[in-house]
Amino acid sequence: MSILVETEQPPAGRREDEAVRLVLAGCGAVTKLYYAEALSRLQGRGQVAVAGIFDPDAKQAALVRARLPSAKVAASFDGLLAMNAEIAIIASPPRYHADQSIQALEAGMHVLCEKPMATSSCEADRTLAAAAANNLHVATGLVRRQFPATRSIKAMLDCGMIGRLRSVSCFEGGAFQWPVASTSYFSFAESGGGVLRDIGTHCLDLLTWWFGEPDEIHYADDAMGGVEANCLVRLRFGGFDATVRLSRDWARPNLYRLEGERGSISWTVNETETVEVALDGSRTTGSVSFTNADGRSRDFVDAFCDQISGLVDAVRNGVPLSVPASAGRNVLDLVEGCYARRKLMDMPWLGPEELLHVAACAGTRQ
Amino acid sequence: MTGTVAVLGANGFIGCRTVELLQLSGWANVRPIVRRPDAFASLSRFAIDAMVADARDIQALTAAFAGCKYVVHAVAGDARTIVDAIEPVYRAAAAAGVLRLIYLSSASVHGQSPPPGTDETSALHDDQTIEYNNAKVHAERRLGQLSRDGAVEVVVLRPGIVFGPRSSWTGGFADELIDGSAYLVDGGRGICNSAYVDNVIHAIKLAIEVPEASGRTYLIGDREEISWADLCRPIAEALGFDLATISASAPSSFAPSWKQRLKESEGYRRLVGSLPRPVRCGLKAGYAEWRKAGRNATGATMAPTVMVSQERALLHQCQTKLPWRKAEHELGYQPAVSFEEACRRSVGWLTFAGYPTWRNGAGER
Repeated sequence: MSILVETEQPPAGRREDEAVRLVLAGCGAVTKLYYAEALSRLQGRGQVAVAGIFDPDAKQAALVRARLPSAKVAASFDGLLAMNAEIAIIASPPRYHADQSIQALEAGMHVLCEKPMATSSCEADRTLAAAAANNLHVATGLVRRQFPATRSIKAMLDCGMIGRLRSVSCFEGGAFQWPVASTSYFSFAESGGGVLRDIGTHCLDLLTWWFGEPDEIHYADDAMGGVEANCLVRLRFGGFDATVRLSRDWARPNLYRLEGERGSISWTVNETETVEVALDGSRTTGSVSFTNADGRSRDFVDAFCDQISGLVDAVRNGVPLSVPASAGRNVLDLVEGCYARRKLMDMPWLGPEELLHVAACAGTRQ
Repeated sequence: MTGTVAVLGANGFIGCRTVELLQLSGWANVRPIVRRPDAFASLSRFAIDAMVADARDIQALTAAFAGCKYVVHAVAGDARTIVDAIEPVYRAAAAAGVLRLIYLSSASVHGQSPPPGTDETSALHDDQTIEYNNAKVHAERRLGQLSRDGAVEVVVLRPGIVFGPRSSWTGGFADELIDGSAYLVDGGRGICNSAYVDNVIHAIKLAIEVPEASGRTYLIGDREEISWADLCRPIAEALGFDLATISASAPSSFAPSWKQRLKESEGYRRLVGSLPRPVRCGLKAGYAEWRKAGRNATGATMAPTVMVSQERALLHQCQTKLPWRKAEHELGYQPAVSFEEACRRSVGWLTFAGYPTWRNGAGER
């Protein structure tokens, strides 16, 4: 479901080659690590003009403004919306995503909302409805779909290069090192879940993009009153199972492995361009590096640039969004489907006394 | 229920399991203290409030200890951190009115291969070849000096090789087996002074409870005398490796290579730590590719590089089982978990963590 694919006429008095005015809400980790640099690159190319930024923590806003000096710092989110921009990027903590997206849409701005686009599929529906009601675009930050590597995997699967799939296994995670501002990030109220809601959003989105909706969902995690630090997802897709293991406390090789009847594809998580392919008949294996048709190499920040450029293109030229907002909503639905089937992971190191308490803790969420 | 117990270094292997066990057993109110907010990720699976404080920041520590009767100091780190954290932690505990501080030192203060007859009364030396040992000696001495003012009771525990879920001796060894860098000097016939993590936590609880423990130091270990091969075998078997193939000889000298020196330097660690994870993953993957390309270009099949460290060589050749008689007599310490059960639980965790064990994937309860 694409919310808006019709080309809008540019506002009266705006030139086609004029930079799109854009505002940014949220100056936390994802902005400091990626959006600030991506916007700086796009500003340098004359594609966007960052009119304003906002964060309730003025110190964080000042740090980001140092990298985007043309931007004004808004004193409030309402102040940001009053800056007469065409696009709002919402990169605040997840619990603000839906409300801020809706406010921006109602203020007449197209929206790029960082993942997850909401903390529940109901909230995501509200965002989609606001976009439709205001005839505006809403894009969601599923940045991995911008990688040449993941797009190439999709193309290889679509043309049946490794034959019918037999199994898929994915491991992602390790000691959590995302520079969050407070421990409250790890609460259900703030983030809507733990590792599944966080990196699981990316992982499950890739799997459903590649394989479609799963027929069966099995899910277990280690939450005992709080949010999960580890989880195990088993998805049944037609004739094969995909096993997903996510962790915030112990690293294994961060790898997706797709085994088919005629070969296999391996992808190292967040590798933007390289995919390893092995074809049975040829008795060969190799790392294949994919670039976009322009031949330019794409790093992680470039993927953020492409994500923003995609929305700019949709706004300016009516080019359909490469990642429709419905994808952000559908992955939330799948995450909720997992939580609804939640079982407790087997934790064989717990002693008998602890196990007595586990069941009682496991049913509650902080 | 015991009063509130603050666990400093709660995201480390021992700290994490201490919080988990105390929380799930209901033995005490537990307050995890971590250095940065992101370090709370693993413990957020419990409905529990964490405090954020650097172990060198007296003000932040004092606030974090407020209302706690006991503090478990389980901060890991480099030699400087080990020593530098002692005074702020003690002063903050005193300022917050903490009754007792349990300091997790290490049996390494006696060296990796201590002489027969070593016990808590043996003299400590700060001119050992392993810097970690000297740091722990300095930390214990400083804590001894500070505690003379009587503001906070102090109990020092010296566990041996602490292993179990999330430990480097368990998960780290599994990683080494898989990447081909595992080794056991002389087949691992030397004595391993193992201390399963739950046994260490049992000792922590006794150190909190027993009034007479104040001002004392205790060696802590498992009941059984085991070898390094005994410790490593269950892991190897679970992953389908044969221990006999990883026996190595200790080199005659331990001059570190330029790569070892670089990897162990503070600047390198800081630089790597400052990079975002995707960048680190990318660099790591790129380096692996570069190495692979180099191998392909030369047409050579390179045997895995095994670098025997001095610390491991000394450990693997240890001939002394350290006693825990003093803990037994004064604290009533008896290891709560047998070595066999400890191995079963550790291998169970490997399965949970996603290692390719014979159980083939984590199950559901």
